[in-house]
Parts: sequence; C-alpha cells; structure tokens
Amino acid sequence: MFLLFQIAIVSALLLYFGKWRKSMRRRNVQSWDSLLCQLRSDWSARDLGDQFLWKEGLNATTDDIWQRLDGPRGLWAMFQNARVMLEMADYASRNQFPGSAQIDPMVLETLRSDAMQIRLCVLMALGQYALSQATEGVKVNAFRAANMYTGMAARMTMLLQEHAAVILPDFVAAM
Amino acid sequence: MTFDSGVLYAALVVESAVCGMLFKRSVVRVLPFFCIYILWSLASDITGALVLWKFSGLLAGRLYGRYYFTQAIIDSVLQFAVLGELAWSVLRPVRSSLPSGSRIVLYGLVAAAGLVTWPFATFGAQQYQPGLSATLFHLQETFSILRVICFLVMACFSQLLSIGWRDRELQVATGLGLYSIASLLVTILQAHQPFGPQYHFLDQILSVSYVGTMTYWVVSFATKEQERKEFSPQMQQLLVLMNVGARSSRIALGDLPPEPSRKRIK
Repeated sequence: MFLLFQIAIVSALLLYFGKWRKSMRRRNVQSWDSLLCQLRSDWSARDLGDQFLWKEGLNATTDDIWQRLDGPRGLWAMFQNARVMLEMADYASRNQFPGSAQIDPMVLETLRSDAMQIRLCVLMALGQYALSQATEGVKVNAFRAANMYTGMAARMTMLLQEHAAVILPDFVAAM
Repeated sequence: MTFDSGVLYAALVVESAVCGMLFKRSVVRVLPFFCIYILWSLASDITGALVLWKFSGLLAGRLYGRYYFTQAIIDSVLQFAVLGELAWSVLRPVRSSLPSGSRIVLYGLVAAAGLVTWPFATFGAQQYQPGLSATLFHLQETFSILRVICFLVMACFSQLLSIGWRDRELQVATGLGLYSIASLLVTILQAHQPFGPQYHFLDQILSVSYVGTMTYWVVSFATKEQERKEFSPQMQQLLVLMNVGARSSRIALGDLPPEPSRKRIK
C-alpha cells in the first residue's frame, strides 16, 4: 500500500514536470500577437486610474480601491496580466538583434521587477483574503498592486490604441 | 558482450558526444559546473571501465568498490554545484534586483534542503549492513530526493513569479529532472526488493534512462536555438512606456527614489 502511495506521488511529480516543461516551451516560442491576445479584457482597470479618481474628486482609500477592483476577481486578472507583461519583457530580451537599436536593459529589468511586485502583492492579498476575508492588510496589498498595475496598463493601452487596436479591441475598450 | 557492458559503452559514446556539443554550443560560458559534471561523468566512467578491465576477480571487486565510493562523493558535490548553478541561472532576469550575497544564500538553501533530506532518506538503506555500502546508498538516495525537491521548487517558483527559462537551461533541466525522477522511482522500488536479478534489473533500467538522458541532450544541443522573431520599434516603445507607468506609480507609493540608479544588468 505504502509502495503504491509512493509511486503515485512520483507519477504526479512526473505529470507536473511534463506540464511545466510544455508550458515553458510554449512560452519560449510564442509570437508577440499571441502574447497580447492573452491579456484579460473581461475585467477593467479603468476605475482605478488616477485620472478617473481625480475627475471624480475622490481621494482613493484602500476601501475604494478594493470595491473598484471587484475583490479577488480583479486581483486575479491583474495577476494574469502581470504574467503577460513579464513574458513581453522575456520576448524583448530574446528577440532583440544584437546589432540593432536595443532596448535599455534597465527598462526590461524594472519592467520585470514591477510585474513581479504586482504578482507578489496579489499573491499576498489573495492568500490573506483566503484566510481572513477583506481585512485592512488585504486591501493595502491590493492597493499597492492596483497602483502599479494601472500605471503600466494605462500606458500600454495608449500605445495599443495607436498600433494594435485591431488585434486587441476588447482590451483597449476595457481600459 | 553482456547487457551491462553494452550500456556502459553506449554511455561512454553519448557522454563524449554531449561533451563535444557542450563545447561547440559554448554552454560552458552559461553553465560551467554542468559542463564540469558531464566531463567528470565521462572521466569516471572510463576509469571505472579500465579498473574492471585491467583487474579481475576479488581484487577488481574490492578496488572498484573503493573507487566507486570516492567517485560517488565527488559526483554528489558536483551535483550540488549544478543544482545551485541552475537555480542561479534561472534567476538571471531578476538577479540585479536581488541583494548581494544572494548566490551564497541560494547554495546555502540547497545545502540546507540536503541536510533536512538526509535523515529521511532511509527507506532502502536498511537492506545494507552498516558500512560503506549503506552510507553510499544513503548518499545516493538523499541526492535523488534532493534533485527532485530542487526541480519541484524551481518549477513552482518560476511558475508563480512567471520567470522564463532559456532554451538551453530548459533542456538541461528537462534531462536532469527526468533522470532524477527515474532514479527516485528506482530507489523506491529497490527499497521493496530483496537483492537478486530483479534488483539488478532495476539498476539496468536506471542505466538505460541515463543513456536516454544523454541522448536527449545530444539531440537538443545539436538543434540550433530558434531564430529571433520580429521585434519592431513599436513593440519596443510599448515596453518603455509600460515601464515609465509602473515607475511613476512606485515613486508615488514611496517604493523607489525619484532618480533611478543606473545599475546595469550583468
């Protein structure tokens, strides 16, 4: 019985390893357009933008942000979009031609660091939320993640409007 | 020629081929410890084959036993170095944001995981009389568990933070990961087997999986890395603007000073 249990664990490990390997390989060969198409457009960060809050005459508190985020659903959307942003940075570092005008490595480095900060803040917020619902700590982490995310997403949308609105009409409209 | 000697010769051939491919593809610059490990495997297999060929009978058995024990210790040290190196190379995209001394901490964590594993890796050692063989089996069992733990942690961590792996690193990790899982499975099965033909059959399966791993590396390293895809100035501009957006938010939150330090990626 114990032997079967041990074999089941190792088989599960093998399965996970195979799936992980496949996803990593897919990530390394995907095109820029397929990457952009992975951005989630079914959740809008529009209500979180500084401009919107300024227009509304609001001083955004953590409670406001939590409400506008739509709770864990918004957090999860940010988590997934931050992954796409990280993959964009990877795409850039992988596909730059050595001779051409290169993107500053500092830009990629900070982009990665910011997207990772978003993911970490979201993870912490989601973890805390799972344990204790929407406490002040959850809202603070959500606020930090949302603040960074809206800065990145707003500018990304501006550019997508100019260059890729046809590919991503939903995402541009959602922003 | 017996099955065992056939597998040994096959291993020598593929190990030589992997060594050649590693140097041809300049993997030594990215993963030096891994290259040393493969060179060491080739050298130790050649020496082992020579010991068995030159000496015969009881003397060969005794000499080979001592030699095998020494090479297993060196092998374990190199495996430890390879695991640390692989984990560190995966962290390449975020290295510059890590505090200094992170590399030492990383190796320390691998070592700590090994130390924690040691007392628990005993499910097959009871078959051996206390002595060199039992210690050797315990050491190998510890490392086969440690390798799987390290790969599991690396995979989970990279998935959680969405850290990408380069093609070569992914190929090395795939080979090592598969071999580690195979060796763990064989260790588990051997722990429930008395010594005999079936026990030895499991050893043979492990040797075949080793040759399979080496063959996978030969094929992977022989394949050129994929060609670069289009990366237009618009795409470049998108990333720069996203970066500016996040930066200003972090400055507003007080996470960053207004002027960034111009530290370059190594």
